[in-house]
Amino acid sequence: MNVLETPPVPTLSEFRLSTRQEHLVQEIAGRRRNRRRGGLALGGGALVASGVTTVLLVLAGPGTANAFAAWTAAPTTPAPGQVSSAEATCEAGAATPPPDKTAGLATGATQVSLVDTRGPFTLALFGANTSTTLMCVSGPSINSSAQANSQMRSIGGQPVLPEAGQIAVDRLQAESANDGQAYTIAEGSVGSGVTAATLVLSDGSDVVTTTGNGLFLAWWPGSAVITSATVTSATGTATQPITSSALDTGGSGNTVKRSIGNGQ
Amino acid sequence: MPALSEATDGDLLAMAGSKPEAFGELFKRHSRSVYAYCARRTGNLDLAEDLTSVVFMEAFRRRRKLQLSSKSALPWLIGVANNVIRNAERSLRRYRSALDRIPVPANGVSSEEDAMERLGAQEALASALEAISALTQGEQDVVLLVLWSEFTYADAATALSIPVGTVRSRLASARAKFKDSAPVISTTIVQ
Repeated sequence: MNVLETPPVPTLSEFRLSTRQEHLVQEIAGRRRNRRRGGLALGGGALVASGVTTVLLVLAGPGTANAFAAWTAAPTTPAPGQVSSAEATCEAGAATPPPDKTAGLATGATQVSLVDTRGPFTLALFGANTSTTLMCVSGPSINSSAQANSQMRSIGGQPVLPEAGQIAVDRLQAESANDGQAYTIAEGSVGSGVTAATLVLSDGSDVVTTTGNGLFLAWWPGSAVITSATVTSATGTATQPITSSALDTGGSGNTVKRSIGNGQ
Repeated sequence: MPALSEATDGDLLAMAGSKPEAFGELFKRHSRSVYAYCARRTGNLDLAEDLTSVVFMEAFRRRRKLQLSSKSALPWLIGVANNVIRNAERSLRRYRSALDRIPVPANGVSSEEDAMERLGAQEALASALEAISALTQGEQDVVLLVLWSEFTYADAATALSIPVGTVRSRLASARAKFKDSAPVISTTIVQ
């Protein structure tokens, strides 16, 4: 054999390759779920308070060792009854007065605008673009008893609509599960022609949003913020920088977060 | 969105962050080539298998910095492989716990025939590596890519992050050295 000719290498069997391929996919998926995230990164975007009130209901489910083990980066098809059950619990919870108030918060805001499901988790948005917006999260190990206030983005009392083929992030909300693991909820609007949007986070990961009714919803474990979005429309796919992502930790403004016990 | 099997390498890389199966498809396409390259670089088939897994895990970590210069991600993956192999000890240590989770004996062989074939191949690889050891590292790199892995000059240049002209000159230099010394391995005499 000439030294400059190719020395042969035995071909790896399909079994060995598929085993390694499956392992790689599991490692990537596991790394996403188990990634330890750093502290909260606050962006510099301007947030302007508006007259819109958002109520965030966090529904407590049975606890698990890893709160987000079943979370997926892309929306999943809901299990039979998953959405209707979550919606019913949300509506019931919204109609119940919180401890410091005399009336329920969600009257007139029970029209479902968008539902995002990721494994056993359901994030529902009620009454978007009305005077009261209700956002409701349910799933295993998601529970919180804290009340918090925050802000919604709008200018001059009118929601800012994104340009065609773009999205606008209206809310980035920091939360924590039963075991203290942080998670973040993103809600916003999509411009005309947008058929899909994937958020690129500050830790390098991607989260595919649920879009519909001119809105998008997504959430993810950890406290990473949004750095850009890959937006798909009829004209193609484009990367849109997101420079105004501020992480709302519930410090001020006019969002009320309430917890509803459910199986704890 | 195209089916994974029909997606381009660029599409798969773009999807990988939210869809790990997309990176699995990339592995399916290029793992044999990466494995063969690792085997020829190290002369050790068992090590090459683990290094192949490490290359793809490391490639996933670095994917955001990638700018594909061709339709195929293979030149970039080989570039990642070069770095992984140069720092093999550190790379393997970094991903040791992940490698330990491979569900079957990763380097096991299925039959005596396979074992004999692997042993023979390893001996041939060791001889080949010994034969080119007189070349500079840069010359060895282009021999491994252009002659042993049948890369184009352009793809070799991408993998090594060097100009195409440098690939040509290093290859010419390597050929000249072997022409001068008429090296042989095995029993075939190079005229």
